[in-house]
Amino acid sequence: MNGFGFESLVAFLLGAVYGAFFGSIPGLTATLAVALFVPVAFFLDPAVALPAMIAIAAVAIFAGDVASVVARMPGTPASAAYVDEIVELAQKKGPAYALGISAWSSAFGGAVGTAVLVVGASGLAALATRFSSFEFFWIAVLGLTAGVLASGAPPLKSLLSLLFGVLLATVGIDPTLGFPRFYFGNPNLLGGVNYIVAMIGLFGFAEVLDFIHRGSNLKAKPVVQKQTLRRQYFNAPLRFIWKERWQVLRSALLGTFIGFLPGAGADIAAWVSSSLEKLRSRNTNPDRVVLTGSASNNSGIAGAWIPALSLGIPGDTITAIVLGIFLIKGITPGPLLFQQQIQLVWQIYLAFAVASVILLPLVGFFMAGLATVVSRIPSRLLMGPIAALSVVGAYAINNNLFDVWVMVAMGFLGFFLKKNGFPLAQLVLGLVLGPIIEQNFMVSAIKSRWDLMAFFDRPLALFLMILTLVVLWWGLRMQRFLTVTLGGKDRT
Amino acid sequence: MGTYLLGALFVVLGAWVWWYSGFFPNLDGGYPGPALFPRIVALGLLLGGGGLVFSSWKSGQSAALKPGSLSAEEFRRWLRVLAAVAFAALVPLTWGAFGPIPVAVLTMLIFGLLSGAPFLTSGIIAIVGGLALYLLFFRLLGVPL
Repeated sequence: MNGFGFESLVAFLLGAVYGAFFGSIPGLTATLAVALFVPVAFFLDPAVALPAMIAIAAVAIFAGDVASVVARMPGTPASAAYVDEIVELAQKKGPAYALGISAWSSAFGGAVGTAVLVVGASGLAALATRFSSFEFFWIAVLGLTAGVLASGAPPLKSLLSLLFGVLLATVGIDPTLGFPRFYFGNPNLLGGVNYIVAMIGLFGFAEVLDFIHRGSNLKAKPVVQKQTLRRQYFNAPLRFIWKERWQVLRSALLGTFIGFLPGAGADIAAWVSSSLEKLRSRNTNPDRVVLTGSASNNSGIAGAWIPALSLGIPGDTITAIVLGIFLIKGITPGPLLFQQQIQLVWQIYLAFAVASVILLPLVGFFMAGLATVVSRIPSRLLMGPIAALSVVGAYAINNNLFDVWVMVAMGFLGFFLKKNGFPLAQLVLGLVLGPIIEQNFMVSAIKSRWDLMAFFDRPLALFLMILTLVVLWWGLRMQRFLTVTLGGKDRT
Repeated sequence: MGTYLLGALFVVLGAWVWWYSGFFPNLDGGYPGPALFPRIVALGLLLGGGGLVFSSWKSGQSAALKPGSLSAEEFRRWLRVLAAVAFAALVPLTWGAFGPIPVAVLTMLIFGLLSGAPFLTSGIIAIVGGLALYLLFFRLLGVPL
């Protein structure tokens, strides 16, 4: 096995700092960080560029949680899946504890994903090739079903939030005929509602509006700061993660599985697994939800490399960029890669292992310290910068001022819905999974000449459909249990 | 606003989406095309919104909706929120005239004040924050501000 050279190590560490910076700023995603690194990677040897890209992606995905803890604004779409839970943890047990759970779960999730990548890359990649539009449709339906039932909010309100998200996702060019829908003659809406812009509005700007509405006379919840930073970051989270080790393993395996499905990636992995966990724990255990989501999204990153390395099929947008780098450098992914460039393959494995086991906990510790300091600043002083960051961040995504209006509209909508007990995460879930469901449904339906029985013909599709029904049955039972337990309380 | 009115709004939205998507074309052979998913969503909004209206009517919430039930304090709070939204909505219009950084500084100042921060502190945060945004987005990330 080939180790890191000095140059690789330096690039790896610089990549981690760069990834931390990008991930913790709302609007700047891990994909954007990797994409902006391409011009630099072009001039580097693959043995230097690839470890740096792995460090960027792994740390950026984790750093998305830092923005959630500090500003209640998820830094990346993957972090949005459990933003309420990590904010609750930070308020109740301190930011260092919340980021400790996130960083250590990410580390273990990443390690499991790496192990699967090393051991089963070729076997799993063969399974990935058997996923067609039918299976993708069902996996997205599974995510939506779990999402509706898992929110903890009244199911009707969750459903309406989710439907509203799906409706927003239908804005723009439709995937079947290329017909423009709901764009009202405005060319800015032809590309649809950018869900990162929507996320900045729903979680960042809405929070500012909520604070303004509540007024400055509202006393902030005291943050528990009895323990030292080291104890908060290391002791309690590690004890909890050890206690929940099987849950970490399950989440990491699920994250790896979803990650290796072409086009799914870390975001969907985090959404599906944290929704399932919310449903399972009846939304009463935020520690477990954060643990599940963090373990899944980081294992999903490693999972996405499985089809990329073995078959040359990108598992997510990051690996799509990586495959571009392969192309520029004259590297052919697939079985030949394992025969001709085995040293490079081992270097990729090593980069994943070091990023998961060493880098994430260290970067996490540094950022937990930073978040602890920021969380001591009174909220009213942070609202101005959060509002300005929302505006500039929304603009910076596409350099389009129209996105600022979209962000403001989503912020007001988010504030309004939240005030009336509608969960916002379900709206984002609808925005993310809506296009996947529609596209795969239409492709499957047209492929089968509208023979809807084709959706149940394939064994994998049938399995996923049964799994969806099980989750539905289980979720409805949970809802009935909650109704009985809560008696006359509002479960609209 | 109340669950009752929100439910009614969802019903209206669902009805509008159903009507509007009727103008979308079908696939060859009359199979559903771009209208299919919006119509499924519209149906969900109609049923879900209707469910909300029904459940809040059953629990007597609709009776609580009387004009003038908003307290003066609550009215002031909503006014502050609407002022914040109006200011943010004006940002893209002023971006070109004043430049993005002055607008970002003003945004920080206005939102700081609306959040109850003292004027001087808000001003200092706005200037330092504006400088940080300039360095971060313009200098470091090369965003054409």
